Amino acid sequence: MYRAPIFRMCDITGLQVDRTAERLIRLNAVFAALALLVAVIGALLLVLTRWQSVHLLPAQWYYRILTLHGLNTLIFWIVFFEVAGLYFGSTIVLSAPFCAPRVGWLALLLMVAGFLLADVMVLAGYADVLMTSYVPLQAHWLYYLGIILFAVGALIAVFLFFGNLMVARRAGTYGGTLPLFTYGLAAAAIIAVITLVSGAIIYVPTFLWSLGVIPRVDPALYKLVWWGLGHPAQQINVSAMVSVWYLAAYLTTGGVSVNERVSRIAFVLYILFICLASAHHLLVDPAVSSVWKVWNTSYAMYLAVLASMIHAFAVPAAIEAAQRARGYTRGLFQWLAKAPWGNPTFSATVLSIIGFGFIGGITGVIYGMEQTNIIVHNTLAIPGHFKGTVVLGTSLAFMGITYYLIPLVFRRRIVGLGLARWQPWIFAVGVALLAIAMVGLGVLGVPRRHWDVTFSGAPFRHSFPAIAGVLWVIFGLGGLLAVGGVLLWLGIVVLSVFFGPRMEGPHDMQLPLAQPVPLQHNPDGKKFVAPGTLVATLVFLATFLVFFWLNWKWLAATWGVR
Amino acid sequence: MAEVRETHQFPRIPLFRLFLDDVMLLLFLGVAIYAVSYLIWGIMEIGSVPPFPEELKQQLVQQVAGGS
Amino acid sequence: MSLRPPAEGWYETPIARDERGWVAVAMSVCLCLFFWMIGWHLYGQQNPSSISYRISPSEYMQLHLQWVERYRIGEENGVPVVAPPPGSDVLLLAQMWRWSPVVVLQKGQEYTFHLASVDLLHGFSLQPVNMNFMVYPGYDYVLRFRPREAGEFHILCNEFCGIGHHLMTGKVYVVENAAELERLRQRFRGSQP
Repeated sequence: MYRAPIFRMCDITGLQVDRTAERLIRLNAVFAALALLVAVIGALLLVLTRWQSVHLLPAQWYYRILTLHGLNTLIFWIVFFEVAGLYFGSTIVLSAPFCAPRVGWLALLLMVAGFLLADVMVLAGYADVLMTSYVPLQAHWLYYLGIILFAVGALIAVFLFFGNLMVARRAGTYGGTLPLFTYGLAAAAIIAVITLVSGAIIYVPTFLWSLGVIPRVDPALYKLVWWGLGHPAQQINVSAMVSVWYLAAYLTTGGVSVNERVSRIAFVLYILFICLASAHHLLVDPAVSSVWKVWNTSYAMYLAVLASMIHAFAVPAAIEAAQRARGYTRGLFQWLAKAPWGNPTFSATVLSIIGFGFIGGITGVIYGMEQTNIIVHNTLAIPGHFKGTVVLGTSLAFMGITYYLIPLVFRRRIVGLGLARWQPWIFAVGVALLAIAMVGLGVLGVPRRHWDVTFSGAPFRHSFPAIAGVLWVIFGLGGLLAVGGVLLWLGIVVLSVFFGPRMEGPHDMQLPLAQPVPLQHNPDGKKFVAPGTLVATLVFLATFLVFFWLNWKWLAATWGVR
Repeated sequence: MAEVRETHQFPRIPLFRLFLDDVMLLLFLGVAIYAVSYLIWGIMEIGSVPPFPEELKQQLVQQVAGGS
Repeated sequence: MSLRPPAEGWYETPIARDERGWVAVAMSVCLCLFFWMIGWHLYGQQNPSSISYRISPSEYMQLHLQWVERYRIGEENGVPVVAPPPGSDVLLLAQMWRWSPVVVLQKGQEYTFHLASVDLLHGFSLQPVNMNFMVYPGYDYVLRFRPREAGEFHILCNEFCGIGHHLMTGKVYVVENAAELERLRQRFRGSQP
């Protein structure tokens, strides 16, 4: 039975809002926040355990909470938020209806059921297998079922996104060309299809194996296909995060991509090549050859890295060009000094870009090279790397954009805006310290996913260099600060969404919607549009080269191996 | 004449722009490149790992025999 | 415009000078990174091997035990100590939660390591050199190592393998020369019951 969608017109943006889509967006966002709460409680316990001077949890609970933390951060928080984002980008942004509301509810139901089932099984001690659950480690079949339910729900949600696009296109609510934000989300959705199909290919046999239906799952095959889920899942984040950067640049400064064609080509490069990087996890493994490793780990000659470097220029350039058009033209960086730093979405976005690039990006590219992976594989440097990408990059970008979603989607005023201005800084400084300490510890050889690096009771006790002690203190303090930053965000969001004063109209907007500014006329592209950004990206490149040189020097100092 | 007017009203859109706008084509290409380059090639490599060579086993056993 | 379809003429907008320059620089860096990895295979000393074999855990265990018996020179903390001749094979075994055996190597000589597990996945982490490789059950990963310095080294496990994961440590001795190897041999012989 077809029911005509009920729209309201947004009195702030002028967009047509499908009420069903809005409800689904709200609920997905609420479950995202719930998953983040579970994840951050886990994070606190883990920081206090690995910090050897506290060493809070016993071994079994350490690995149990580690499983819980990984799942809830890297899968549940992120995917729930992304589904909310996909629905937002394909309905509200396009002033289009939600194509199949009932299927939308079904997808949500499956995802919530899977989320609860998997978390309960982990906490009940039936799945102490860590997030990767490498076979022949085995969890209870209900745990695998939980993951499968969640993945099926997410896959349905992704297809609803494509359905929404088709409906909007046919109804002509936008021209033939999607807004850049939605275009980036489309890239994320395509990567999500790759991710979730890989997940199905590997979790279904593993589920059957846990029931005893099939005798074994090959460990090499498992790890290959599992990372077709595990790594692209984080590439969905990258693509969604970059889309959010463009959106935030527009909302906070009125900045638009200085060249839409270049930005779109960069997203296409993500779609085509970024998923090959699943090979990052198999660089020091048997069974696959160096030819396969070099080709895939380099995303086909680093074309996806090129895409990230394009966005790294394009997003700040959008802000710079808008600011310069407003008259902030003095020197290289007046545009940045005069930027709306009091707006938490703006500061979160800038910190997210810097953190993603300088911590996550540099380590990611260098650790993902076939040979340098030898000196970091499975050390703490790897979680240090993805604290930079997923936590400082994606999570902070998502937290930042929420300060606009509260008034625009939840129709509430932000409670505690004064604290919200501090929140991105507290979180970013905390995660940065945590990530840098982890990278340092990893360089010293400290393993990740390890309960006791003093090895008490082991036949041979290894001790790490004394500097590790200092790094563990930075790790602990950074971790606590980061947890504080998340709890502050959760507090602001929960109070605003459930108890905040309702929005009555545009006058209730606490954060301004920046007016778009016409770009400077640049007929042959002869002029510089963003000299400050160019200098900043060159500084980034120099930092990259220093870290590159250091790592290859360290590698060259190790034993010969071939 | 009508045809001529039509081409005037709808200027030719460059092919590459059509490609950028075609989400379904991009979905197909994204899945295909990943499936061939990472998944299928990877599975083929795992499938073609040879068994532990008999000569090497013999050699290791002979080393043992020679020593005892 | 990120929230609305792009303005008319977006496709024809020329790329500004700075963006064009940055893309060119970025693209050259990307190509250099790719060819650097290939170059390191040709001229560098550290490259993961492409050699692996299929072998059942029970058969590997058997070969391992025979090999340990052949070159055993003693025992340390309940783990056999083995001194294989330079240039020969080393059959390292990973098992919940131990590395077997303790290996004595000679500096500057090449040894063909076989890494295999008989139960779960494990992580071979040689410290403080900090070289890390994966160990699978059912697969033998063949890596030819050439120790660069003499001393005592540890093998940690850095892939989660159950509750006793942190107890899984091993040891490697690298001796300067044949004379030092003989002294070590005497030391272990002295400690034998």
